[in-house]
Amino acid sequence: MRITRRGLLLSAAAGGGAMLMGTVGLGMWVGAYDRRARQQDALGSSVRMMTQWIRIDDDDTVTLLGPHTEMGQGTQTSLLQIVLDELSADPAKTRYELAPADPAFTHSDAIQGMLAGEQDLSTWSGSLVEKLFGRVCELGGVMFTGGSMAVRYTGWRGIRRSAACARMMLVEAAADQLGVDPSELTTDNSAVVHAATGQRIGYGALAAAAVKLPIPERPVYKKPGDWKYIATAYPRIDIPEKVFGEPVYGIDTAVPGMRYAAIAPPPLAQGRVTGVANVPFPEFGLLGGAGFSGFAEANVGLGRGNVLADQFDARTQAAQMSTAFSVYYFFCNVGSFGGYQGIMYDAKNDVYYGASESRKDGQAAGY
Amino acid sequence: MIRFTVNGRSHEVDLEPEMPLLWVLREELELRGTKFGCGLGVCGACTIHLNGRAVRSCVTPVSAAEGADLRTIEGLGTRDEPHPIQQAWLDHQVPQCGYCQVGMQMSAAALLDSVPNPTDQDITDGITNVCRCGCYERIRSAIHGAAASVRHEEG
Repeated sequence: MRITRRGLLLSAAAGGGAMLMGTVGLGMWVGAYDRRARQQDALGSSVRMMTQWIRIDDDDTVTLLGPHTEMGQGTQTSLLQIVLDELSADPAKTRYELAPADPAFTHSDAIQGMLAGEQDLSTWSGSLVEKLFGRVCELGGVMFTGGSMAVRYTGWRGIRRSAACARMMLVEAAADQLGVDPSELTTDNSAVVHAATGQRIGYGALAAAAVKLPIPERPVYKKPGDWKYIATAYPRIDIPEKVFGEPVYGIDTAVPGMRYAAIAPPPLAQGRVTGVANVPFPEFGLLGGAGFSGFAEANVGLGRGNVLADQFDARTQAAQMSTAFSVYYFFCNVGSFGGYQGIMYDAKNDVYYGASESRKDGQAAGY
Repeated sequence: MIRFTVNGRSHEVDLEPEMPLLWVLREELELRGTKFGCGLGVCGACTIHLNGRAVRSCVTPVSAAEGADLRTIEGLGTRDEPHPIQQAWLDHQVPQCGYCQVGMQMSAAALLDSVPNPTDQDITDGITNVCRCGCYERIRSAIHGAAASVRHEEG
């Protein structure tokens, strides 16, 4: 193909136009992003999200839908303390609820924090950067608790900002209702107060009007001297249930027809257990007999297999079998040549058998 | 058939006699407050009371519970009427992750029953449970606090 001057100019113009349209389209796609609306859609119309993370009900209940789990370091309590102060919320009517595993609740604040530290990106970019991070985090499904990022970034960047914005919206709604200037109003224990006339309106009564107002781009935060909860030894909200044995840990999860499995790891690195059925176990009889319900490969980690069992005695045997390494088949990665080779291992006599001879030092034969 | 009571309720179970009591409580009776930790009777996460004595339920066969009174965390106290140990655990903000704390409180309650005014050494000797979060100092002060509150009530 010959490159002509005209052709080059035309294709450059076409390419530039396409890039421009793409950029404009991308900008519109990012600019249209509305985090509060995304969370509202995720939860449905029966709840009211005032701002990102913060739900306010008609009965004054404030719910922080926090995206972080509690491992006992007080993460959720600390996030709640931030809301109590920046929203002037009543602690008796404010609670923490773990956000659903939904893209709308992913951690754009944590990712922004990782890249920008304590710098508030909104001061020089408006909200576009926030929206971009929101889009990207939704696409990536970024949701985790760790890295000391919950309070530092999700809390101090995101939740504090959302709480401060919500408070400003509630004050503005009260100012409209009372016909006064917002500067005449203060907030206290989940209510907006007009000191001059002694009037007091609860957040629940203001929430329906406040949620229709635009979320402020420049929230005004409380001064540290006005904090009542932040930087105090506030009682941890997760302790009472732990003291009464109520929390549901992973091991407490029960589903109908649940079966129990023991992990039978292969003795060679990177081996994959592919089956134990029909292999005679002198100690335990045949797997697949009474009580044993099957075998499944666990597809996480290196070379793990599960032996499933229903009855107590079968469970015990499965557990013993998984550690006793009796006889079972497994496949072993044969290294840089790729592929897998079938191997059988007899732990009792410490002998490997294979399609071709296998070596005991952890390398399959033929490699 | 093996008969016993758990938290004052009578139960009659038809199970393999060697099944660990922990399995019976958690899976047959669905009392999941008691936790599985090591399965070897070492860590104490599964501690319950058998006739008032703290035992590791993961290594106690159900046959050993014949005719016994068992108590689990579900029967220690309630939010309205917490056991002195539970109140002290709240006051001293003891738990971190909380997984071992049910067994820890059962051990501490049994210790106070036998040694109402434990010294530091009594606590060290009497509480052999393991806490991976390392809440030992708060556990110690909470046990002293519970002992003091019981003394105060009885005094």
